[in-house]
Amino acid sequence: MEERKDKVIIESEEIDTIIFSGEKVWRHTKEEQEAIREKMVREAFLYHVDSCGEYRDYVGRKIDNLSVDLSSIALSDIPLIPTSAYKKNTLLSVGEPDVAKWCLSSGTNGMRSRVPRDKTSLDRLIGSLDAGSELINHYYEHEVEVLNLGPDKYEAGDIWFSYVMSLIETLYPTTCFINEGTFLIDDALAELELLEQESSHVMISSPPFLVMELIKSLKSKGRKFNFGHRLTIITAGGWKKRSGEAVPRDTLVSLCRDYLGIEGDDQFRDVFNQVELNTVIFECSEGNKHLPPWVAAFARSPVDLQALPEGEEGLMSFLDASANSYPCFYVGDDLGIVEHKDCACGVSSKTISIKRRVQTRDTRGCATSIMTEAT
Amino acid sequence: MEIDLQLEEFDVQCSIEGCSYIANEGQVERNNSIPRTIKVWKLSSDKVLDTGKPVVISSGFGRSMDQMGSLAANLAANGVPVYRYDSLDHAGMSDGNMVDFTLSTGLASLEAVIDWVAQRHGGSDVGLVSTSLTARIAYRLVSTSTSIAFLVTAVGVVHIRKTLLSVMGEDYSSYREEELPATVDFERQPIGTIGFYTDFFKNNWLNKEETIEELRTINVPISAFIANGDEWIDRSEIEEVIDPSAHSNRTVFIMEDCEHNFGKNLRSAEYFLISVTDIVCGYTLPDRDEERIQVGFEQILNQSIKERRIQRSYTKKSRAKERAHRNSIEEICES
Ligand SMILES: [Zn+2]
Repeated sequence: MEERKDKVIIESEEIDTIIFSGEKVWRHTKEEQEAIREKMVREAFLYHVDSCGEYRDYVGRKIDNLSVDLSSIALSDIPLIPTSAYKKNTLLSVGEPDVAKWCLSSGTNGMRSRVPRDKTSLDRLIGSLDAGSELINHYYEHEVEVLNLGPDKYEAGDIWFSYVMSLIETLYPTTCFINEGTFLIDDALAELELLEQESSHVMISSPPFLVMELIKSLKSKGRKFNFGHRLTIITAGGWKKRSGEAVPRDTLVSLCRDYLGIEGDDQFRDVFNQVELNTVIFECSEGNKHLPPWVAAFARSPVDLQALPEGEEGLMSFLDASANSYPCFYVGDDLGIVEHKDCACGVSSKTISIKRRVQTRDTRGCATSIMTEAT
Repeated sequence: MEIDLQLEEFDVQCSIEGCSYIANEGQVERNNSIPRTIKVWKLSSDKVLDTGKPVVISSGFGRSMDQMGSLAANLAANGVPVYRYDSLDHAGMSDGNMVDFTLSTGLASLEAVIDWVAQRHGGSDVGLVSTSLTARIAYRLVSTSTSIAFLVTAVGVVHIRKTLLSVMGEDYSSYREEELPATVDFERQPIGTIGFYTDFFKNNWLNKEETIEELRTINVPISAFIANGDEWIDRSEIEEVIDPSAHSNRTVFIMEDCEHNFGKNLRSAEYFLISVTDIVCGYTLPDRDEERIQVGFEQILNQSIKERRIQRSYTKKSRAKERAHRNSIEEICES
């Protein structure tokens, strides 16, 4: 028989203590952030080399002799997986029964990335949403009403971007306005009519093109709302298939001022995520995307993938220690900049800014050749 | 594997004296003979047998019953019929608003639900899982009730005066009645002070000594979960009150690196969930030889969204009613 204990200790993993610490995520000093990043990302690297056969083989090809001391590798030298490899390969670090969700990219052409997430990874992703939303404000659940202009969890299915947006319903009271693929614009406007009379803070969570549709509809109806400080618009996912209609951010913000009555630019926030990344990266009031300490990011030379000095534009790569079920060390198709900022919002951290997608054949070719190596 | 979970809703009537407002000048006294309605949810699965011993989960202060959804789902999946409820004068779907809440109303609500569940399941042997401020209520009820078979508390308050001082930043219990502000904020929700604080004195809720006294008379097993970084409760006081080394049927579980809102750390919440599932199943299904079933992430998420939507549609209806009421008053005033 098991011995009765009068005291039992339930331990928490160090990374979870950090991820789930809410606004404290943003209070670490620069040195503390670097120490956390070094430790967490390197531990994650060693774990995935150990747990994911495909990644171990790949690392073996990139680093000639696996017996070299991998535990002292510089973070910028950790072998990166091109995002295209998530389309062809199953990169899995846990047993298949532990996969809670196969997450699909919303790619418009060709094969889609399939990323396996277990409960631990998904919990941590929600933790990143919680910590990131602290950059907007600290709201209690009863103070906020969310209008999700994208699909709810059930309509989103396995499409990652919609799924992530739909998770907001687990944090705040939310109404969704997509039904069987159709945007219920009149219902959204009716809800805004009601909420304009209430006192709660309103959040519109949406891809930018649906914010634009909302504005167009208000324009055609000659209706303007006046939410003042009571509204925050959170966009994610970019324009995707609607890139032909894309308007610059400043124009969209200015339209939101005119038609929804927001007062400051800080009431318009964009968030960054992609199916391969297990952390959602939020913008602060100054428009900077702050990187939490469990993620490392480097801009890289498109020619040889060497990490570039901070502030230089290059291919964006991420090393995310929060992913448990797959190695999240990848280089994608976005060009951007990584730099440390002592930001006026009060947070001092590494920030990322995404400039544009890679279009030229040469840079694509670079990623493709790595993919070939990985397969 | 998807488990077939069934959610049923019941109305339980409560007309116990504790539900009254305190009679004060300028305040309305409630007529206790009119019963008030407590909304109760039962969650079960096809694993639940008619003879299965039930468990009641009471949520923390200011939280509605959907918030303990993942624990409810895991217990139901393992064969335990699970009941949750919203207290009267509280957040959620039962009668009354939070501004009128008192601990004695909370106690009356819990007692009504425990009695109703015990009756449905042929007498005693109801398990109780209670969180935060509701745990303080639970200690009192368990010290007198004969229907409760075991108690699990999470971040349970044992010394209300001290906890409220930490939460509010002010010890309003030291104020004279006429000095009290009309309302104080808890997580930016207004709580009426007169009833709340008068009830503390009238019914002796404030001090740790009273909790210790009540714990002295409790014989059923107690498992108390403590967050070691709890900013509202002194960990050593819980250990002192529970005193596990002097009671062979009491255990404290210390959750490392957790704050009072321990559910915020979803990984720690998972370990809590597994531990409580094992404890509850150990008491309610002692002959079970199957391995513990754990409901998957996606199903928990779906169930949680479903429950949140029920709560939300209730809130929306109440708001629409309030709005209609406001508008009709405005119309009368204008005419
Ligand atoms: Zn900032």
